[in-house]
Amino acid sequence: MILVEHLTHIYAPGTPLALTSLEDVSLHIEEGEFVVLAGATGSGKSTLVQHFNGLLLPTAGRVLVGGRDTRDKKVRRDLWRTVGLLFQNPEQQLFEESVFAEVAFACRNLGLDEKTVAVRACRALEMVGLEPDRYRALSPFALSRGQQQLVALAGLLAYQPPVLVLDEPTSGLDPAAREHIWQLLKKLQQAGHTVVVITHHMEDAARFAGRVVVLHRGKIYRQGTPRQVFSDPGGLRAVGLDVPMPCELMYCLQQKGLPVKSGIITLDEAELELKNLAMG
Amino acid sequence: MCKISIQGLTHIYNYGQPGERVALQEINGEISPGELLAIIGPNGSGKSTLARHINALLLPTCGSVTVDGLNTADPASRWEIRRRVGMVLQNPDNQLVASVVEEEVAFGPENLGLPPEEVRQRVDRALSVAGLVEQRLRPPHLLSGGQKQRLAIAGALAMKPSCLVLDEPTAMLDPAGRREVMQTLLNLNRQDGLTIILVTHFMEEAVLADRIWVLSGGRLVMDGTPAQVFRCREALQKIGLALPGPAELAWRLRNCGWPIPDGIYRLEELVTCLVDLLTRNRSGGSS
Ligand SMILES: Nc1ncnc2c1ncn2[C@@H]1O[C@H](COP(=O)(O)OP(=O)(O)OP(=O)(O)O)[C@@H](O)[C@H]1O
Ligand SMILES: Nc1ncnc2c1ncn2[C@@H]1O[C@H](COP(=O)(O)OP(=O)(O)OP(=O)(O)O)[C@@H](O)[C@H]1O
Ligand SMILES: [Mg+2]
Ligand SMILES: [Mg+2]
Repeated sequence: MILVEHLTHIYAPGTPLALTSLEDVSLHIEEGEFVVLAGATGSGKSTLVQHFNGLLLPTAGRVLVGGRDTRDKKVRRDLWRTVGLLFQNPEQQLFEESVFAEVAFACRNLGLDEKTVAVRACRALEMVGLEPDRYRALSPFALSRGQQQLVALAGLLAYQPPVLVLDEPTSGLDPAAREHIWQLLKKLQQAGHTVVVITHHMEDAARFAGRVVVLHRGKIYRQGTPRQVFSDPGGLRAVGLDVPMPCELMYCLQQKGLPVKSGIITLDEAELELKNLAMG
Repeated sequence: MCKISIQGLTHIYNYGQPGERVALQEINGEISPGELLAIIGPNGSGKSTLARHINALLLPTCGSVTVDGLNTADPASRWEIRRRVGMVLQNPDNQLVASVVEEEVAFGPENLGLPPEEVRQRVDRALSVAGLVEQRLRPPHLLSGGQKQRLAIAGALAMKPSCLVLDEPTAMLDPAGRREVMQTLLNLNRQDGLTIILVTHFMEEAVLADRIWVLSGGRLVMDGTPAQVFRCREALQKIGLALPGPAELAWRLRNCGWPIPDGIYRLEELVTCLVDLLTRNRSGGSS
């Protein structure tokens, strides 16, 4: 679905402020995958995903979406229909005068009739857990930060692009909303969407990702299933990440001489393993 | 030292106009000098609104907020309040004023009229504490999300306030950065006596506080030590909050009849308790 070939990105090339943010990155995201992108602050995650919808263009290398090169202007103009991108800061996304207009924006651009637009917008608000009647008339700027993040997400869900690329969609959400959004993304993936999520929450990555890709200083440092990636705590810590808490717990118990199984990454698995251990 | 007193605080956005919204209702509480207070609550519960009252960015619709006896509603006190209470906003973009990271951090101390060498020292120290030395000559608006968040922290630290209010300062940081920032805050609090008010969605961070306030629907619904607050699993879940991971696991095992004592909220505590239980169990089982 998304093919990244030898992508290098340099901000402000040829100026004193030139900065190489991605260096020779190659990555293939298949249709229907659930990919989590992780990496330290400044490692290039946001830069990478902004190439997926043509917002940024490669300095070298290329990005193909559904086989079409994002450097082609004609391709780029319609790319938003295929790839929906949620920005890291909701402020960057919100500009309409009401929550409803905000969520309806992309649907209207698709040329849908007003009735369908209204149905889709309300359904999208419900999906993210905001009651349409309570929120539709409010100004997005009179919302709390977490609420703004949910509205921005609803704006994407309303028009249902096949590929959802979300830059830290849960960073300002309370625990219940965070869980709700991850479950929702899982459902969308099961329904056929390709989902790419940037997050700093290792517990969530462990539970929901099919594949975790770790960036480090603009390069791919490691990728694989969560179990593979989280099997190397030392390596992850060296690049500013960590393993999920249940994983950490199991390592601690192992160090104290308890015969716990390795490869445990979620709370449910940890609970089960402890019970097995207690049974002897 | 910094003592904050909140009395009958109600905040209504767009009071008497269309779009009127009650964001805080009748909040009462005191924050003692040197205290580390965490504020948690679901989205829209009023955390940021409350935080902004503490350094007079918002003024009460009813009630009052005082900092060392200075009332935020008194225009004559406002400058002094902002000098004492540093603020790290939830959206770090909103705080940017300069074109180079260093200047951004120097902006506050320079405005205090400090001598240049003192400003230099403060800036260097704040950048190093916030982990931004490598970026010091970059333009602030071109930093990554997490780097901007670190910049906001550096800017606040350079002011050497006696109280620091931080609104989700670690929301966009990687796990290592989160740990570093929390450790920095704990050091400032324990060693320098800085009063800290930390708004967060990370229950693991709230556990490190001396006291926790839980907001829900604009009301202060719980006020207690981490142990007191995280004993109320059901009440927290009902409003969209959760227990810290280790506490959740402890609760689940306890619920299955494991003799796990109350008061287990951190990983180290859980490890000690499980090692104890499981080794006893195993040696018991093999004899
Ligand atoms: N518009 C820009 N102009 C110049 N440099 C930039 C720009 N945006 C980001 N950078 C720099 O490029 C590097 C990668 O930034 P990017 O935003 O991709 O990181 P990130 O992995 O998303 O980090 P975070 O987790 O903090 O959001 C950083 O060093 C950053 O300072
Ligand atoms: N400028 C504003 N005008 C009108 N209403 C507002 C404004 N800012 C916030 N509100 C409302 O006040 C309530 C509290 O908002 P606040 O930002 O304090 O919440 P919060 O607890 O910080 O939430 P979050 O966890 O999402 O950051 C929300 O219902 C919000 O919609
Ligand atoms: Mg980013
Ligand atoms: Mg807030």
